Amino acid sequence: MIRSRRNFIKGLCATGILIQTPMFTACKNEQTYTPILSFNHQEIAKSFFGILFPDKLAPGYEKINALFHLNAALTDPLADPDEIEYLKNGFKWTNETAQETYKKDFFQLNTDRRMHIYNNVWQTSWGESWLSRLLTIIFEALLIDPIYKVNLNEAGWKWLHHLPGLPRPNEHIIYPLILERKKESKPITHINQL
Amino acid sequence: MPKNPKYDVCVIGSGAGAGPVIYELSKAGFKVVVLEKGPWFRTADFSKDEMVATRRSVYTPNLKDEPQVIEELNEKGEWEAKSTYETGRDFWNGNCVGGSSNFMSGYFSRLKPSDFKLLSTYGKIEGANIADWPITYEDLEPYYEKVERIVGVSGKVVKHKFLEPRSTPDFPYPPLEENIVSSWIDQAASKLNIQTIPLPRAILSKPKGDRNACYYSNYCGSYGCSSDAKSSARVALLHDALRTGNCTIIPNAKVFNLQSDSKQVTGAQYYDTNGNIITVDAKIFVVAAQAVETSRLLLMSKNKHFPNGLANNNGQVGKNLIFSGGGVGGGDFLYDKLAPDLAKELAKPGVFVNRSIQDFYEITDKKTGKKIKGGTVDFLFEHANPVSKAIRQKWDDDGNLRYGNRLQKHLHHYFTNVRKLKFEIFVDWLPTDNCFVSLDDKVKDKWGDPVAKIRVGYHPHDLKVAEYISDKSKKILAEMGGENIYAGISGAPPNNLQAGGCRFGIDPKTSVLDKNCKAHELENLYITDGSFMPTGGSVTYTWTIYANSFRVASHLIDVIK
Repeated sequence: MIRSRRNFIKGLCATGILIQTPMFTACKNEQTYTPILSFNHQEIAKSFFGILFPDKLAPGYEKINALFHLNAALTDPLADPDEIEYLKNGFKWTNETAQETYKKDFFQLNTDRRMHIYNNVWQTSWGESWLSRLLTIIFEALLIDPIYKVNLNEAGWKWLHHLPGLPRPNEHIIYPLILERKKESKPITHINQL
Repeated sequence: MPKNPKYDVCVIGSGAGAGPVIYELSKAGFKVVVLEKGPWFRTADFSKDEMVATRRSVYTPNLKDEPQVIEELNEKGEWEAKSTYETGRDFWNGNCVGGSSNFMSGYFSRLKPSDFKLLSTYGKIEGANIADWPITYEDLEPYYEKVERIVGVSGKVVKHKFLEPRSTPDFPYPPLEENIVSSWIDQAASKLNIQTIPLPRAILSKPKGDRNACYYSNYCGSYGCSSDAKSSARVALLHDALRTGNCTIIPNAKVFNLQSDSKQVTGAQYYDTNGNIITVDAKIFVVAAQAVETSRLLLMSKNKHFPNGLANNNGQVGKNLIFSGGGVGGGDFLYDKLAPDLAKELAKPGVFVNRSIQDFYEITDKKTGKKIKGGTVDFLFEHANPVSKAIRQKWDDDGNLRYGNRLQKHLHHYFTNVRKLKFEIFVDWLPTDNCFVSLDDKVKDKWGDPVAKIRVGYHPHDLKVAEYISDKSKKILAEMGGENIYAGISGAPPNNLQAGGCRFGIDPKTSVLDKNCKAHELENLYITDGSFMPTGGSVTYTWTIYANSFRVASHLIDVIK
């Protein structure tokens, strides 16, 4: 099932149709957080984020807090568990590729070998689709409102000369807090109740 | 029906098809209860937050909890059904008080007189279940006007060869402000002997009561409106209904069954947020849950009197589903190829394109020389959502993932030097035996109820008409100096523009509803969303859905009295 789901999503992206991918996520308001990924898997994320979206021409993954956003996505209690599992599996499979190729964990590899693993992952049946998903994480971290603790100092917006719409979200109506509305079932009988 | 029901009318749903009934009956002094599946998002809950509006399932259900099943022809030519949870293809629209009208772009066009008699005007088409409507344009015109005035439509009437008859000379709200590109479209089309017309919008250009005028936020379609200028059922109708003291709206109330005896609906059962089952009784029941879910609810409501689903002893419920679509296209306009002052004007955010062409509403078939029904094309800018805009640039024309410096250069160029002008084509989606709603026998929702299975076949005639209009539209973009001009004509249904499934008609054997949108088989069941439409015209449906709901409301007031 997962394979057909991700193949479909890749197809949508290829034809430019994808507008809303129901994925995971959540945002924690605190600046610090406990990483859900192991040190080794974080190294994979950093390396691949750096390759997919380097920091010479654009704000890199550190300036947009992409690792934080990845962590938020992986710990979203409202997210589709299959999506989270798929995203996590990519890190696991990447490390397996490192083991098969160099008999080492990914974090033990030098820059050249990490790039080699990236290229190997690209060639796998799951690789391009999974890397595309990492790019979606990067795009969200680059371009959603900084209230989500990403796009720091509006770095992404400034780079692309993007003007945000107004009003911008406040802390009471951001995802996932806005979903509290889905728990209210008290009948409304007058406009003053709104 | 209970002897003394608490409510006169129970309405299931609260969007464009429900709003006028709720508004009119509450104002007429009747007790109305509204059961809305989704939550109540207030105007203050809306911001221009892309995470909430398009990146997460906030305004729509989580697909794991509430999947649907889409059935399409596969490469082998066989019908293949897949859960939307499996594919990620979201077919839901706004599930909240006010429904998807909260998030519409509000491109509003009336149907034409010929749309009410498509069969008798243009004749049969093999493989299509075309039927004339049991009412005429003249019957609906007063209600189109009512929508302009009460719900709020802005625009300017310009004479053209397919202009529908009007009872008023012009719109009650003047046109919204336009981008310079609108004049470029006019000029290019004129050179090609094509007439453009201002596109009416369900957006206020000046204040109305508590509602403010549009402030040109640059984020309209898919977003809730922060000034209440957008004419959603919530702000245009439900607020006033509540002010009467006669209306009760219960959010997060998921109706799953309509109880009935052999003649009347006796109760609506819903799940509350805790999963409790609650039953509401009323004299009259009105269903307006949007076409797919309305058919699903009737099909789920089985009992000994209606073993195939409520009002479905003739087997017509769910049949002849239609969509408003045809294709999309567009072209790029590069700032660095324009004089600086023109580039600055083109880049101006917020103001609208609002151009439409209806010259092709009737066209000549090249093979037969006969007149056939054509369609409409609307022009618009690519939406401003930056994440979605970036995602569309991930893959190159060969289907390869862009990354690294190549991706960044492309993104920077696209965001800073390109403005994409798009067009959307609307043709009659011919009703066929291969476009319908049924219940899936395997996939259940989180309550354990069968989900809607939607077969989305289309008639090849639809594509032929869309191709014709697409060719004309691409020529306009080329005349304007557009680059990378493209078009995609397909039978892929737009999930947000759905109708049919419970068509109205005179013959109880071939239709679900009578001319007043009352079920043939029941005395007190009405359906007022787009389900009633046997054909859809060649425009978006929402204005017609609003207008018909006002029409049915007038009838209901007479009935209940």
